[in-house]
Amino acid sequence: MGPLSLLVIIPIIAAIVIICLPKENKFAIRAIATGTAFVTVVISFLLLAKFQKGGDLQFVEQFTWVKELGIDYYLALDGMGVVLCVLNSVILFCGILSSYNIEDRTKEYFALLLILAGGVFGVFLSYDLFIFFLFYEVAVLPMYLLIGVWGTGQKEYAAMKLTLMLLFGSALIMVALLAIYWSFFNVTGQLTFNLKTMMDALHSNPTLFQENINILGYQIHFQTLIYPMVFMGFGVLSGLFPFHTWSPDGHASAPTAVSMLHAGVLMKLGAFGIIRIGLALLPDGAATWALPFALLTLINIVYGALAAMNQTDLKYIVAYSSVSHMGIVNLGICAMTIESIQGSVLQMISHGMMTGLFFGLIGIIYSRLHTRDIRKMGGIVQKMPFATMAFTFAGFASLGLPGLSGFAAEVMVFMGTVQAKLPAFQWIAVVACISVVFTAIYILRSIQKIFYGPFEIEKNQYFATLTDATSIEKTAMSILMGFILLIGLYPAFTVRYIFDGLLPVFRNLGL
Amino acid sequence: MELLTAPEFLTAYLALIIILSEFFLKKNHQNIIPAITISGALLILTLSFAFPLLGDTSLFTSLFNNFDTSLGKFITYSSDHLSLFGSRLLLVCLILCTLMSWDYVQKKTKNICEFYALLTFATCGLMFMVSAQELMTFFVSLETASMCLYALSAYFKDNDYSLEAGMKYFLMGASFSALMLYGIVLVYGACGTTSYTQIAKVCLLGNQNVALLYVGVILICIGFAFKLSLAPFHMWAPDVLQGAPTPISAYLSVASKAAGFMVLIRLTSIAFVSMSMVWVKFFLICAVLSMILGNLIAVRQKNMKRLMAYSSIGQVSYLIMGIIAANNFGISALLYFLVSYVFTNLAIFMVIANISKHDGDDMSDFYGLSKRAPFVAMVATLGILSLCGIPPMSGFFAKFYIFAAAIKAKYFTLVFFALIATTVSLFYYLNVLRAMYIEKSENDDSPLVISSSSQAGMWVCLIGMLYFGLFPQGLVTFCTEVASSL
Repeated sequence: MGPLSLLVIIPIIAAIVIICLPKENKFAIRAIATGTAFVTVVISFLLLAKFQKGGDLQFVEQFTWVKELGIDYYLALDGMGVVLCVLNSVILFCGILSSYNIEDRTKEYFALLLILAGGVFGVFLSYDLFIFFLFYEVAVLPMYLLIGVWGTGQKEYAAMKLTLMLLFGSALIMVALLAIYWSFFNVTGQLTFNLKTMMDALHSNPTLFQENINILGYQIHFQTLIYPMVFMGFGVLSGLFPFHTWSPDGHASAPTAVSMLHAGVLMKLGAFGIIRIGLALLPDGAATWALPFALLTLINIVYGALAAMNQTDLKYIVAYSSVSHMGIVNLGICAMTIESIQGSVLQMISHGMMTGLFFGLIGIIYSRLHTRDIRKMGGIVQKMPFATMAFTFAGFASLGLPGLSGFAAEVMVFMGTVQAKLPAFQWIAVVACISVVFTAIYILRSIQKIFYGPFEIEKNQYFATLTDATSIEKTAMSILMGFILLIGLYPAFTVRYIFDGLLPVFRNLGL
Repeated sequence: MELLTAPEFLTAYLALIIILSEFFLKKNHQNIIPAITISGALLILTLSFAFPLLGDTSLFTSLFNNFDTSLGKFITYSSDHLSLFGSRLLLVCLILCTLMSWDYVQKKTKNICEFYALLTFATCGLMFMVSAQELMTFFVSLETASMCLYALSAYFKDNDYSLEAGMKYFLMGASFSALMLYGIVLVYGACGTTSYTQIAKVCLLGNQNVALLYVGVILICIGFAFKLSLAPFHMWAPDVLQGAPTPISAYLSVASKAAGFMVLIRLTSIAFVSMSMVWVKFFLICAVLSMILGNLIAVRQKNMKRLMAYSSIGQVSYLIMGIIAANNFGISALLYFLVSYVFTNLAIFMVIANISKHDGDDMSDFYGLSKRAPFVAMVATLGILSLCGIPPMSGFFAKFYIFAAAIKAKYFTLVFFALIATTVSLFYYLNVLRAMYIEKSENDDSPLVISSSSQAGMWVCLIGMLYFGLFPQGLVTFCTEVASSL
């Protein structure tokens, strides 16, 4: 068993072990969860160190799973996968450190969290469409229970909404994958789900995926029909307008670590899937649909920022800001230039670390103040200097301060968008750039309302006993801040890996 | 004559042994009869794996062959790959339903012996139905099974719901059987034969009365739609499944459907293969209606057995996609789905049978189950996940496989409806999870005691769902083999 399988299986085995432990033994449960997360961090960093650039798949593990259908268990590492695995393991580690305060059904909580993380690793590493989809579903479903059982507020509504929307998206993806599978079979006579084979075949054989499909009497080009299914199916998860509505409700109701993982990593699965499958296999469809989808992502960016400005619940602010930032990711994908797609992936990493930090801090604040309404806060910088510093840091990264990760990523996306083939993209880029101002407004406004201003003790009954973050919480937050700073100061390090992983995609797009 | 040792016949002997054993046993035979049933069925199952018997017989040939002179003799009944597959699956259903009934029936009635005897006879009838190679043998075995199941549905004589279920099932079942018989007669009238292979040959020649034949085929299809509870012929299913004893509801929802599908595979891929435009259209309409009706009505259900009945209607609408696809790929996908469906549905019925209080089978019985009985809650959860099609359960692969078959045959519109249906179905499936994990139990927090037989049954279902989900290769190979042998 190679390192990639270990990365996927270790969290799942740990989850099974945790299920088997007696529920009173909370210390052991937390220790195992933390240890597992730490092991995944170590493995993913070792992979990053051992990874050799050059565009080849590495650490390949392949064996036949179902011969008749051409399904392989095929894990392989590329440059994009390795950085996203690092992201996932880091967020998982910090998320677990931030959930030591879960007392109700601790065992099930950590088990589900680990299963979810294992599924995410699987998605980032699999190069077989079936296995990819399998892990995708594994990653999506635990969310229902995680939000429904341990959430706050309108948790049942939020959990149901989130699960229904995400699984509808995944049903669309399933149909798209199967259509790709049969279309590939019709041309090559090869029954396979192997993504690598398909990508290479598409490069050498341009007649692939060019048939027409009869829908109720209309002849529709294969890619024109299937690409929107891929884009919208994954788009549901990456918060694409108008399918983003699960995200504010879901993130607001979820417990801290779940919000961190979900906004930090899971939303990236959507954008990752669009690049891995949509762009790499359906380049013509992507070109056809570039403009309509780019307009949707523009609505995401502007509407998300405007909506965030009007919220008073801290989690809703960050959730809408996620919608806005994921819009930038999707915009970069729609623009389809070398810079913009790289920028998208960098924005995924950057936004992952950043929202992880945000939601972690909101968890800290909520556990002290028992409210997330920013009108009931104010002046708490006196009691919580660390939290203030970290939140401001995250805020600056979010509004794109140079030197932090958000800046590099957004600049790449906007630069790439301006260069896109269609002239309309220049205007889209202009509008998107302006909306960054709105980000500054809501970020600075919430920092001011929460942390600064007069500290009125009668405003909130918990103000009297307010304490700053514990050392464990400080560790978790500092790790994330460190990554944001490192990526911001030297983005080229990450971008090189990303470029390497995107090479086959660029090749198929003809860039 | 060696076919007299085929699983179908062995099961018939087993049923006779069960009936006779009551005369030799003393009063305290409560546990012996289910034990005999299970060990007998296990033995037959083992034998069918150890000595798979393939061959055909002309045992009853002379009886029906007299009607026909020009086409020569034909096989009435054979033991081929599909019937082997069917026998094994139905024996598994029998074993699991017996495990489910062991405790359940003892609590409610004193007449234990007939219950298991009827159940075994029903299984035997269904097995013959799968193996039948011509319409009359098929019909006689169908009626054998149905008669047993009518009686079983009304088995609890002092329960009004059970009686209502039995009566409803009998009246509607008998009328639809009559309709199907009329269809068979018309087909016979048009083709001059009842043998599947000979019908196919006659249809290829194309000089028969087409109107007669088409009406006959449609009537037979309506009969099947009734047995499989496809909308708009599904009305009986919710009432019967709600009222019947829970193990019988489970049996009705898996075994009789599995057998029905296997016969349908035979008919559509052999006998009526040249009339595919008729039955494909018919089942297409049924499938879309079932997807919409089954899933939408299920959303409002509070009674668990009723909910499962509607959920089954939804599941059957996916299953029928394998028939509509009308290719080998679809058939093997359908067979795989059937296996997955049997384990999954039985797992959930097993849970319902064990936790329901005062015969209510209400959703509120599930409240707080995750605290009262963690293992049972886990079985139910994994079963629900399998029904939703979430990995690593077998339902995931099954759904993927059957969707693949539908897309291979380019039924994009049908798949679109199926997508919507899957999403709607998630709503009520997740509601069951909500009941178990999020809702608090109303008054009773005491740990639930589950009998060891039910626990064993749950383990079997659990292992079945997980094993076929994680390692589908063996089963897929077998299903492909069966499909290509037709």
